[in-house]
Amino acid sequence: MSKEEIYERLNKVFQDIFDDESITVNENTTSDDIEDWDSLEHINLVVAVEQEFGMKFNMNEVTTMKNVGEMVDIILSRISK
Amino acid sequence: MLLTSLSFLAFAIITVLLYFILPKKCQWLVLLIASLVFLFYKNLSIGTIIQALAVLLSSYVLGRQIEKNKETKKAKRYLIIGIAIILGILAYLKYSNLFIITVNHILDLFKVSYQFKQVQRVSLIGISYYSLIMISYLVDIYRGTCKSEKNILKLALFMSYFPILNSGPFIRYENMKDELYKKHKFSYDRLCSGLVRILWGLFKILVISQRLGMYVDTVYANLATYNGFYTVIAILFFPMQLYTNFSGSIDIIMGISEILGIKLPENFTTPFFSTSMTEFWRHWHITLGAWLKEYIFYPLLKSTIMQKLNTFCKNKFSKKIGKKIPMFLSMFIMWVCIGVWHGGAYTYIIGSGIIQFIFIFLEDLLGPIVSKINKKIGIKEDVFSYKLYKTIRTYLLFSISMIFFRATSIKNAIKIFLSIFFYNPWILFDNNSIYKAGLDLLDFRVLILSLIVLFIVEKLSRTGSVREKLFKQNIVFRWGIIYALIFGIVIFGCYGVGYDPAEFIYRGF
Amino acid sequence: MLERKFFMLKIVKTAIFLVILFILWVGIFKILWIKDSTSEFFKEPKNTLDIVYVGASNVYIHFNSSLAYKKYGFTTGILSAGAQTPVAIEYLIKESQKYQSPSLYIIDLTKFVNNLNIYTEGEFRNTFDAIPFSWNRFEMINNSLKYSNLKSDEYMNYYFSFFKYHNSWKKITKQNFIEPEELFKGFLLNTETLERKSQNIGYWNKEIESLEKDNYNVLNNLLNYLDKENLNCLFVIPKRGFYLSEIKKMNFISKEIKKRNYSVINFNEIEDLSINSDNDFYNLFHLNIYGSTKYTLYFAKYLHEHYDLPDHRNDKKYNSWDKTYEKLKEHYKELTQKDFEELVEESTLLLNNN
Repeated sequence: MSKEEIYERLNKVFQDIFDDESITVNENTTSDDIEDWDSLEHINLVVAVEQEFGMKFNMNEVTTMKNVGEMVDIILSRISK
Repeated sequence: MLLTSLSFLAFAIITVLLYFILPKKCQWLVLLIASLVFLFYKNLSIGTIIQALAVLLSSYVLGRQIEKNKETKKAKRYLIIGIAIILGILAYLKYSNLFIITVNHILDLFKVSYQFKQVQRVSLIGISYYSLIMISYLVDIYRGTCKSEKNILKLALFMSYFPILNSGPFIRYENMKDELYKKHKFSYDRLCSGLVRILWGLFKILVISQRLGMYVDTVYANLATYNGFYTVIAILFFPMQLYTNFSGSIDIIMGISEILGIKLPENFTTPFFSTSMTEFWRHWHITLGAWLKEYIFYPLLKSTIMQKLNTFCKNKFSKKIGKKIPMFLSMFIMWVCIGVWHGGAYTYIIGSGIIQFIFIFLEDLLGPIVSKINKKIGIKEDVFSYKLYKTIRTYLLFSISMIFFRATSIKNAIKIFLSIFFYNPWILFDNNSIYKAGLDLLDFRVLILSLIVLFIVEKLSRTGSVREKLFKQNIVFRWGIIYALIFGIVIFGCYGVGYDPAEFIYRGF
Repeated sequence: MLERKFFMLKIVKTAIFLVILFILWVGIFKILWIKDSTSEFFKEPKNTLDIVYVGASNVYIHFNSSLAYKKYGFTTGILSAGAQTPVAIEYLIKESQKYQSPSLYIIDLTKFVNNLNIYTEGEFRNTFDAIPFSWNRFEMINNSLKYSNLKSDEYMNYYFSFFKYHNSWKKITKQNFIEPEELFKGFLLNTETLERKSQNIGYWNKEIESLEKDNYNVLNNLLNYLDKENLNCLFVIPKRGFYLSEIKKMNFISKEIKKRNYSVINFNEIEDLSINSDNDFYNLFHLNIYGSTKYTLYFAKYLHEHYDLPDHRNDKKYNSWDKTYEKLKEHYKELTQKDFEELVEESTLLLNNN
């Protein structure tokens, strides 16, 4: 799976979670950029991403991810295994 | 050892002196010995040694094992065993009576006349703190956030670092391992800064908290005499009493830790300026909240059961509700845990747990509705007066929840609450009724003055460290403030033996 | 080099800070302190006292030292506090030796017959608080409290009295800022009469009952100390009401002291003191100014006649004693609208008639 493909699928997840069709994410997107992205939604988001890509984040990764770029790196490293 | 006692003062001075006089290699050993002294002070017995050693040894061995068997099923098993041992000891020592009371209630319900007797168990100071800290240590190793400690003595120091045993903050091994074991140089600036923070903590405890306590204790102990507005004032005083005591303790231990050169996380950031309960709890006992989020709330929310519930609700109701129900369920569990952690009694579970949850739940539920109505009828929400209203409302809500926290039983709490409705507003105006409930006119004056000082300092602290601001001032002002603080504490502090001039027989015989 | 200079500067700064702190501390606690007879004692200049008179309230209420001075010119330091525990006496004498070298010590025996654990906190403090910090003070407190019901971790409150006195900010009055007005070189002027006529007053017998072990040891230690220091000492049993059991013990004590070659005066057995139980007592156990004037005149004369005491009345160094006497006269006039000298004359006449 390529990075572009991942971003495309991620966009859908984000739009679904935050109920906003206009969201597009890039590697620098952080929780500050999306209004509803608080710590609670973060968990929901993480779970939705896990389901989308059929992989698991560990708790450490969940709480330390700083931006979407880091999230994509983790996803990449998991699905390429 | 009470933080405000002379024995603690002596203990702290000796510790700090040894810490900087002995070779830097020994610094962490000095801390370990000091921590053990603090932990077992007046409480040394085979029982207490066993309970501490059990937690230490199991954390040490299992921590090593979890790391060795990383990413296998064994690791998970070791983690569960570790948590079970730590929680088991904690529950045995602190929650036996809660269990007995519950069982007795159930027996009563089924009309069984047999009742179990309550037990008296000696637990070490700080057991609720170090138990959770050691759990986080094991979980962090399991999650791969930190490496396990190879030196058991170093782990013992992490577990028992004396400043945190009294009232937190919760620390995490990942953040503390460098702080605790590395060599620290003596710093004059840190000494001054730390001492001022200790003074400020003493001021909060001795001048404000103890004084508020004198009133609150009098009223709560004599509800038959003091009701109506007496109770109202007591209810309003208690959160402030609790805050000044708790955050004052934190100031003292943070001050000591600062002198030693060991950074600890902040536990309070001016909570009473919050405009909602949700915000309030982000500023009150921060490290406890962080711990529970990290190790209970998030894992719960992420768990398969909750996700299944999420999908189920999404399909049954709507997407929004689908999200909210598991969230609030997890939140409810977390709040019950907070309540239980505060103490083994139903008053704590209700006062610092369930009621808090209800308030936060209602805020989430009603907040948007109220906002809509406000918009319709033209009430502005971004003005000072509205924010003030919300701040006061938050304080009132917290005060009401704390009735349960302070009361001796649920019945007692309800009695306190009901006594609000006794009609006696004149006590606020007539000659001196209000000065009969533990605080006289002069005490009230000191109290109001010191609360104003507290308010100013808290307000200033929202734009950066007040101590840094103080140390930038010229020497006359700087020293003036420090002398005022010292003599404020020494003269107006409520400590030592109560002064009763009748006891003095000078000019009498 | 620069770093070193910086370091020195910090040390100097800290030292200055602490010195200012100390000065403020002492100043503030002087205001909060409750001043009493004992604190008056330590104000006397070094080596100016001819007699040091130690004991409980029967000393500072009974013996008018400025009157004695006016009559005979010798100076008496009142080292006394209400309900002073006898345990402290040895240490008080030791303390006074640091400042004074009197030719005579007078010790009031009243409290030796009472239990050593009857003292309240205030009573202990009356005795301890004015004593300057020293090892002797520490020992005095330790030994006195040993007989009380206090636990040893409560002793701290007595070593450092500000733990108690900081609370007295609530009771601050003019009195806190000025010298005590009713104390005259330690003597307390009191014109009231609370109780009249009691069968206990003036009653004495010869029966003997031995002392409790603790009390006996305290007395013995004191006598040993006096022996060791080779001090000239006179013991007195003041004129006042005693209970029967106290009288019996007092007789025992007198006997013991006399065995050790010290003299004891029992004022209850002296008829020509002409103190009457109608007007001269404040209550059963204390004289008032009328009684104390007779007592002082009698006792001062006795001291003048039996001991070789100097007369300082023409020495300028001692004019504070004259001033105190004038102050006393004024205060007496304020209270009674009468001249104190008249009272002194009347009392002298009465005493001479006997």
